[in-house]
Amino acid sequence: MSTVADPTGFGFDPYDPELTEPAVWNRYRAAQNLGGAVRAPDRDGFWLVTSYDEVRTALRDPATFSSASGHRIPTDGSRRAIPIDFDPPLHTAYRALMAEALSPARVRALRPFLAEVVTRLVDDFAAAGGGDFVSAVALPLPLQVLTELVGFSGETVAQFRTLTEELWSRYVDVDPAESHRRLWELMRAELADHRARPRDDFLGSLLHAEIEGRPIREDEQVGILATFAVAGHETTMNAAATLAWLLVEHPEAQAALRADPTRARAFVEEMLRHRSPAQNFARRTTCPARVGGTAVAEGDAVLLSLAAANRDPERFPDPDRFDPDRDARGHLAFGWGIHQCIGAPLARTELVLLLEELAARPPLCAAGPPVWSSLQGGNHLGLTHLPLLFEEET
Amino acid sequence: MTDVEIDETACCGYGNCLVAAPEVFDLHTDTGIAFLRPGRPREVDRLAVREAAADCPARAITVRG
Ligand code: HEM
Ligand code: SF4
Repeated sequence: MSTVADPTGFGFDPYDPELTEPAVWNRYRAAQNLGGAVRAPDRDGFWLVTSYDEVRTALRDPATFSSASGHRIPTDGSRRAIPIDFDPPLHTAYRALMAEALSPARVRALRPFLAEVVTRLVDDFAAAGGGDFVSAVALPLPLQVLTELVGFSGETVAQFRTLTEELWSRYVDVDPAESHRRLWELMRAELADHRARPRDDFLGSLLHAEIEGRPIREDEQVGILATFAVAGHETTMNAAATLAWLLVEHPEAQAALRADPTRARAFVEEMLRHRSPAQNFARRTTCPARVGGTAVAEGDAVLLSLAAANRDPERFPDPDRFDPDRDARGHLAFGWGIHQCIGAPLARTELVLLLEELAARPPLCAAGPPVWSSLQGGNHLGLTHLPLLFEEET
Repeated sequence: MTDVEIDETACCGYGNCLVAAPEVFDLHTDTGIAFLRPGRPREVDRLAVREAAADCPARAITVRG
């Protein structure tokens, strides 16, 4: 990686494989030390924004900081995802439609199912004598939830992981147009199957949905399903594995949680702040703007680093310290404002249930070295391999 | 007098309102839905509740007056 020279030439390629645990945090801190917004020349050039106040201000102002050119660098507007890569009013219509599947009432109704899935996965993991927590628990959890939440078949969700991994490869040389096509084909097959055998689930309701008073188009249905497929599993998988890793890294925090499982909620929030699973989201300016005292021209790309903002010492004292007892409220791990994650109530419930389940078992410990990914798609940080086991009770 | 209403069916428990106006809003621990603290809002909360309403991703907060 290049060394820091001045605020106009800070190298930050979101797809750099070296941006992983723990180097990525040093990189964010180095950017922060240069100011709220620094110019990165990489990938057609963009402003990297790392201060809490500046990131939140931009998220609050979608009229100036548009999502319509995409949430990834470079903001070339290709392959726009629904609803995240749209501005109002279309964004509002898409979001309302999708939010039905994820409302707090819906999540409350799903709770018994979620608890059952969590218990079964952890039971199987314990019965197997431990193993790779990512493939045994963190990945199957959100995939199984997607079958219930959306109405995907088990065979369909089984293909999400491979297809998603291939999608990210776009940003490191391989062209994944092919995997994109396969994902869309898979979604079309699900729609056809639901047309042939109508069911009372979200997929079924999507067949007859309306957008701004007209029938929804098939490409929109496919786009919405593809978002659930990718956004619905990647983030939760990374969050779940990170939670388990933190338990092992911080035995004192694990002991405190085991003694008092009501701490699970605060533990999850501090994980989201300290190791935000979805780290960087792009916007494009629709007019000249000021970010962190810097003049940003109309049409410039900005990369809002939620992960760096959540470690801004101006907002969270001693930010690099993982402290489940701190007040993590106001963290930006789910974003802020009109695009704020509609999966947050679901993700929070899944993660709290998982943590409570783990805390009810014998102590969890490492069974080998963990492997971290680099930022996937310039955004997602997580573990690809996490060998763990429950200690033998004596 | 400032009057605040929370649409409980729209609220998604994001808690943004708590960050903007911690004296006015709180979340039910069981449902995760926002509610107004007793005796709130007061006149001093005027600006803070407006910020809370603007920050609510679910547009669940209405402010009058
Ligand atoms: C811990 C888990 C999760 C994290 C950290 C996370 C993070 C985020 C963030 C930061 C955003 C805002 C992006 C922006 O401002 O451009 C977002 C949006 C979104 N998330 Fe999540 N997410 C999680 C789980 C989920 C789940 C489980 C689902 C669906 C089942 C989901 C679906 C969405 C959708 C559809 C949007 C776009 C909302 C919009 O544009 O209005 N997320 N998420
Ligand atoms: S900000 Fe809105 S959605 Fe979030 S808790 Fe407050 S009222 Fe509910």
